[in-house]
Amino acid sequence: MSQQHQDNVVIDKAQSSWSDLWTKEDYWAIWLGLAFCLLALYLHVSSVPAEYKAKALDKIAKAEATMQAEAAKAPFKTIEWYQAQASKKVKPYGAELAKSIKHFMGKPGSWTNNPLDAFVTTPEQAKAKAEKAKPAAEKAKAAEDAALAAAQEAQAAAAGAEYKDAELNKAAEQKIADWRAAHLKAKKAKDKVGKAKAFNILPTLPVLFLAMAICFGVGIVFMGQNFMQFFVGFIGVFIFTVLAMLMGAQTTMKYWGVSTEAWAIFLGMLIANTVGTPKWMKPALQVEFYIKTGLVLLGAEILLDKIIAIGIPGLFVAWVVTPIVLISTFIFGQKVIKMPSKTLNITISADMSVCGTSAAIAAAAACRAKKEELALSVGISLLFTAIMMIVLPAVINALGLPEVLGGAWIGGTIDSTGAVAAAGAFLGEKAMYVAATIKMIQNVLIGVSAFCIAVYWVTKVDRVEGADINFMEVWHRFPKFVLGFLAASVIFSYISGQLGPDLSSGLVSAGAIKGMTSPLRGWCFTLAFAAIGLATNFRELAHYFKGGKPVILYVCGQSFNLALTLAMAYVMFYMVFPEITARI
Amino acid sequence: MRNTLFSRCCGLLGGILFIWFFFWVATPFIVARIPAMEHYGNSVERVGITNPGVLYYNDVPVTEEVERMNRDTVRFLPGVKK
Repeated sequence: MSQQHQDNVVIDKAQSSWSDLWTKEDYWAIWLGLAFCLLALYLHVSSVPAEYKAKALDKIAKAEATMQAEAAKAPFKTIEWYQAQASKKVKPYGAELAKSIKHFMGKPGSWTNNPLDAFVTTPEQAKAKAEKAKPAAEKAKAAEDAALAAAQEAQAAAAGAEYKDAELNKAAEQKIADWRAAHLKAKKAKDKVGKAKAFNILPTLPVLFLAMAICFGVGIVFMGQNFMQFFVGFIGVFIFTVLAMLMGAQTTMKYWGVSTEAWAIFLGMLIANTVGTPKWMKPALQVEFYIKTGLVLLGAEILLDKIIAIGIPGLFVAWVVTPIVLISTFIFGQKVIKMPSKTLNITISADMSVCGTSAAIAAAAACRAKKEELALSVGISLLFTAIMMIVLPAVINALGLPEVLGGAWIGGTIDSTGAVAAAGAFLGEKAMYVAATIKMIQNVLIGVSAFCIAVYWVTKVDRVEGADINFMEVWHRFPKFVLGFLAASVIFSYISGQLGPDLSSGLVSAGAIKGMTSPLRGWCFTLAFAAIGLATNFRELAHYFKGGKPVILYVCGQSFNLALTLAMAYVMFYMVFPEITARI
Repeated sequence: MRNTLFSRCCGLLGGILFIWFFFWVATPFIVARIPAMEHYGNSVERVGITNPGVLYYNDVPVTEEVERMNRDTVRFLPGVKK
């Protein structure tokens, strides 16, 4: 009897072999993702002429010398400080090939009533837009010049008293703040004129489709699947992805924050649960392949030097509070709420505590959560983000909290970066600055979170009862794409660190990342979510929602997050580092 | 209702109609009556995005400027002699 029982037990023995390098999905995600990342670095960093770099470094050194002198001179940021800071901005270096690649990754733009506006703007339409925006730009520039003159006069008065008169200093700071607000308004108005350019992505979309179909298709073939079936299915999935991007770019989304990825799930589920997903599309519903490739590309955006952007207070609010909330919520979910699915628990916990959808994607992939769990987590996050982005600023105003504290609270609690920046801007410029920086520092935590979740899952959760945990066993079970994700982060962080913050900002962030890896990451994730939606059944999704436990988990975790973030922000920004807070 | 092609197409059409109604009819109505919504929409435009649900900080153009400003504030803190 015991022998028969032994024969019926499935002994889970993970194995690796050299052929995994070209037959397994994780490795193909790494090859495709890293190849594109390295191409981006080559075109935007390595191929930059030495004179371009030398000129930029010289400009930066001069500006920093001015900023140093101004900082020593006055107890507030002077006009010259701001002007020097603006002058050291480095433009991304654009090799022709890099510009072409960016052009071919163009996605639908903003539109209101006519969806065609998202794909085409004719030269005549662009000219009309620019002409319409010009009067406002000229008016804003005149207001900026007037504000600058007033600020210079007030600053001169404060300088005349050797910056020892508190009243004159305060008056000068106020006039400079007014000038800054007018400057930002003028810049935005000018950008509106500059951005009114003709564009047409209708010819580029088929080229992008072909390139992606071939790149993913090669991996599909090596994984033992049929290329033609995948290619035909990919036509449908790609069109669907474009549709989701179109809906995500509609101007009403600014009120609800329904992201492109959320649209992809929603529209996909609408099709799947009504007329049904066509059978010919199913071979291209490669959710994990698209997500893993997207995550490796996302790794390039996780620049570790960003975590000190606002100094130690920001680091504490983002990197101390977040892990505490993540782990506590997971334990609470297991022990108190008794979530039936651990993978759903950790995905929601990461989504809520770290930074929304991107953290949910990374966590879900690291613990091999089901696609329905990821979809549910994203949906819950979207719902609460839509509520918090209006309610939290209102609560902050009602409580009379200072802008910096309010901004830190928003940054550490609201899930998506866009909603954080907008909610911060709702309160004021300072709040927006702090909120967006805190959220950015949290975004960088995704890499560490994904790695830790993967290790925990392999060594504790998926561990076979009685089996030894040794390095090889961990290696066999470890989701390999996480290594590609971390490798991209380490490579980009190293290069960013070597270049220094200002040169890196221009060449790596604005160049390699925003010019190449970030747009492709967006396409990969939207493809993945379109595939999730098209493969998800409402009844299966409802099963995970039973008893409302996921929502209860989110609400309890977020409540703890709100309390702890506020407390930590107050301690860090007002008790431990008040001098940084006073100068923001 | 039997699961016929007609009923499924009706389901799809219903979904499309709901989307149209919510975003093109109900939203302008709601925004016109709740000033906080309009203020929030203006804030979203001010930070240079069309959709606050974007995935990562690199998708929000203002974060680059914000990060540079905060970093320089900490590095070149006014009133602190070095």
